Amino acid sequence: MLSDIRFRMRALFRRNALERELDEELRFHYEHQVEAYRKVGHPPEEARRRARLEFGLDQVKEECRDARGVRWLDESLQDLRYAARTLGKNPGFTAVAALSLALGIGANSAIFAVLDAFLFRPSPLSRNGRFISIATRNDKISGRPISYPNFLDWQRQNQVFERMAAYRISAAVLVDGAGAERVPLLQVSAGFFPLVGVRPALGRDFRPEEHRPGGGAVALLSYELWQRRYNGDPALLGKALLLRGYGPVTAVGVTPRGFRIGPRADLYVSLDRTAARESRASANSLYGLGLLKPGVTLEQARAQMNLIARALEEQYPQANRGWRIDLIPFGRLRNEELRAPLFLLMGAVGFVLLIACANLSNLLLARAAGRGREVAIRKSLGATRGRLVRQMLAESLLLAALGGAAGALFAYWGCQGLLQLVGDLDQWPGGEPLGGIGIDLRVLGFTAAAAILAGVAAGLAPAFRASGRDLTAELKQSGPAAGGRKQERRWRDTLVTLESALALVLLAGGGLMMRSLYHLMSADPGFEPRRVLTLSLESATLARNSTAERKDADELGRRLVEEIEALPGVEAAAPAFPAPFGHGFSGNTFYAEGRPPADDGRLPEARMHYVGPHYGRAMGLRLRAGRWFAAAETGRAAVVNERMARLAWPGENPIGRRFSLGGAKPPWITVVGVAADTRENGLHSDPGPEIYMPISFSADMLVRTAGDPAAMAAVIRNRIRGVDKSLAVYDVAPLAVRMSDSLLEDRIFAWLLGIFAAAALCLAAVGIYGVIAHAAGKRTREVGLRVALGARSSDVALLILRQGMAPALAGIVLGAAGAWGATRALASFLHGVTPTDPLTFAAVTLLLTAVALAACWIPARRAMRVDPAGALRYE
Amino acid sequence: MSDRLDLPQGTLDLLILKTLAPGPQHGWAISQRLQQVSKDAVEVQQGSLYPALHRLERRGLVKTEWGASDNNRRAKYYQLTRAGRKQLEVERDNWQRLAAVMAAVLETS
Repeated sequence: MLSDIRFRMRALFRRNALERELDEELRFHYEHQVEAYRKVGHPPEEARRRARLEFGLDQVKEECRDARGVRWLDESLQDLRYAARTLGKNPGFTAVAALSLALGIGANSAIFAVLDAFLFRPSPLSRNGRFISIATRNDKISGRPISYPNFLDWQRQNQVFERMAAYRISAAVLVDGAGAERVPLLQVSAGFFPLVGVRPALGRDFRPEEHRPGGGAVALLSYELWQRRYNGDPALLGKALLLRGYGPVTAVGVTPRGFRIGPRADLYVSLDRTAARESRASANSLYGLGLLKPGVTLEQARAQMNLIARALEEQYPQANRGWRIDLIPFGRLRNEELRAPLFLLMGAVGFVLLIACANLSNLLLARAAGRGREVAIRKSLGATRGRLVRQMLAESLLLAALGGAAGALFAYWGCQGLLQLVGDLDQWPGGEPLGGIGIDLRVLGFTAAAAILAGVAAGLAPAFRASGRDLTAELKQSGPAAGGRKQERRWRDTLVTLESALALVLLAGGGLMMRSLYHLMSADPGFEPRRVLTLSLESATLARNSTAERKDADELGRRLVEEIEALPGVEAAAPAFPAPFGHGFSGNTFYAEGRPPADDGRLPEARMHYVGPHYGRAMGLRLRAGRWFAAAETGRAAVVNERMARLAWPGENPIGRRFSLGGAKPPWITVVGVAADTRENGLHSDPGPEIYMPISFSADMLVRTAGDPAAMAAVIRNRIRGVDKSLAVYDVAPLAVRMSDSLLEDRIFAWLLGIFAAAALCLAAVGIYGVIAHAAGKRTREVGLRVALGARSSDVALLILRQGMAPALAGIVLGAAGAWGATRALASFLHGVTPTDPLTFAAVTLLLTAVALAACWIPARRAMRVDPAGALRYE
Repeated sequence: MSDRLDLPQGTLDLLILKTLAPGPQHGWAISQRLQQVSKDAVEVQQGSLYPALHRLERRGLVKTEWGASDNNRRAKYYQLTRAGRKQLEVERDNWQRLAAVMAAVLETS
């Protein structure tokens, strides 16, 4: 075997030397033969003749070459060299073909890189598949977070996991003399770090008592935070940090550089220390991790956890009914939400590649048509059909290789651009994939596979068409084909139809997403987002625990509003909790006084907005009736939105009516005003019932300015520090920016689909143009004849246009029908526009028709200018 | 040529291996030797000798070396490898058994 390979390798790579040796060996034999004949008395001439007769040198050589066993490879190399020569002779064709393939392959590889990173690639932490994400699922959804009591029971009752731990993704505001900063935080249960297999780079892990209620509050910092905020000072360990929401915590360790378990975290605090009283039914916000015992399969683990879940379901039917334990190989849990959009994008780029393949196929067909005679001659010289197909496939594969190489480059750029567009990956569910997103070996493998597949798919039909031609008919023809190739024309028309149809589906998808995005950006949100600055403040000394402290905070809040509003260029300022387009929502149930409760005894829910008296002015809310409350009315007065008013007091005047929160009991709150419905809870959601209640202080504030809000940031910050220099101001951003950030997903999705649709449009235009230009070129003589017989140039143009537009229009109709069904897949991503929006469909149909017309027009115009005398002499 | 035997498939390889058993030979010598030992009953088509030699080399049964021939010309010498010797044994046994069986079958009336 080994000798065989060695021999063949030698045969392949040292062919010239081998040929020389073969020549010498056979000559040696031949000369001895001649000598032998001479010895038996033949004259030299005759001896040579006899030896030659007996020993056909060339045939023996050919057979020896066969015996080397590399003939197939040899011929393939020959094919490739030949293909390279032909392609080199037609640089224009080669460039267009390779470029359109590169576009398709590059887009596919880039999207695959993202898809792979998020959904398929095994996590670097997988530990041979023993590392498992633990979540919960019911009949409908899987991968949901779990509650702390359930986690504890699972941990105690199972025998399949060596270790188990849980974590919660959260954030906290870190405050110190240097200022305040919102940092991502992970609450982790005991044993988290040993389970993940990580030891602190500096300091130590949690001690057991630090995971118990009442134990010391400590935290580990990420290496990155330690470097950024504390310049890597080791003296930080042992010092207290103030975490708003957690109180003072002592820094005890620093995690290794680059460590993350999915979402980035800058601080790690104990989960067990504070979670003991969390409820089983709600507070489902933990993710579990487990390391399977060696030898335990995922199936076995699932079986046992299933039993545990059933037992707990019986024990706690209220909280656990219908919920099972979901075990997922680590790294797969994340990004369930990204699955649908990523697969949709993959489908879209698949369409682009298909169009590119159809284009290439068409170009190759056109060329094959021009090579009929060459093929016929080769055939008559004994080339088999298989050999011819192989030779032509070599050409398309070489093109595919070029396209693939350029595609890998495009994919690299595409990935860079994509990451640029996405920005901070940690704002996506599950955070940045471990191992990052980029062009790795897996993606390159995908690229190679896509290129080969594209090359074969595009080249096979033309190769068979070209090699299967009738020999004598081809040779008899005096010039390039005069009609008669109906089948080929039909094939090429089919490709044009296919391209147009695919392009239309993509255009419809891209168009719908663009419309949806436009709707989200331009629809009236119910408030005036321009010229509003949002900011947050925090102070190491500010506390709001006791009544006295709360009074101080209220006093501070009032002074802040006063001082900020006194600034020139400021129109209104208001504290707001929660801040619009900020970090959370607040909700409560309400009871309208005197209303009979619902049948099931449940109270309706409303979103709560605790805001300063000037909030209406700061946000630009429209008051429909009544007035805004005053600061002194805290806890007694409220403004409700129209929806809430309709829901609670249908057909009545809500002003002066009373309601209560959290149950049908005092304190009663009086409605003093009705505001117009807004989308301040998010541009994607329709407004629900909303309640505005007075508050004097909040860590989040809104300021309406007369001019550019960003330009006022420094002045406002200074004024706040002037009131209390311990206050740190952070997260300062115009409201419009925050709103725009909230549309990031929509924007990315719309942009990508739009880009792919544009690519599809370009490729389809090139394809249609190529086919029509080729067909028109073939008809030069006919056109010349028609013109000579009196046809007007408009008749000629019409002739060419009709030939091109017929298959394109067929494709457009087909594509519109296909898109009608396909865009349903987009339904959940669309806002303010239906998946079959007639306007979008009409627009993209018109667009594609116009582009197809333009692509046909160029060859048609050329045909119009045909000089009949020249055309008839031609050929 | 009618009195000469056509070689059954595969036997040429065996004959070549056998010819090489005493020591290295070049192609011309192999062809002469074959003719000689078969008393001219076997005519090796020279067109098939060289491809057969190359095939044997590919299979690792013979190895080649350039050396000087009797009249001091460069010639390519073929030589059995260890695998080649083993193969010769095996094929000789096979052949003898087959010949015996064939003879026995043909003898019985």
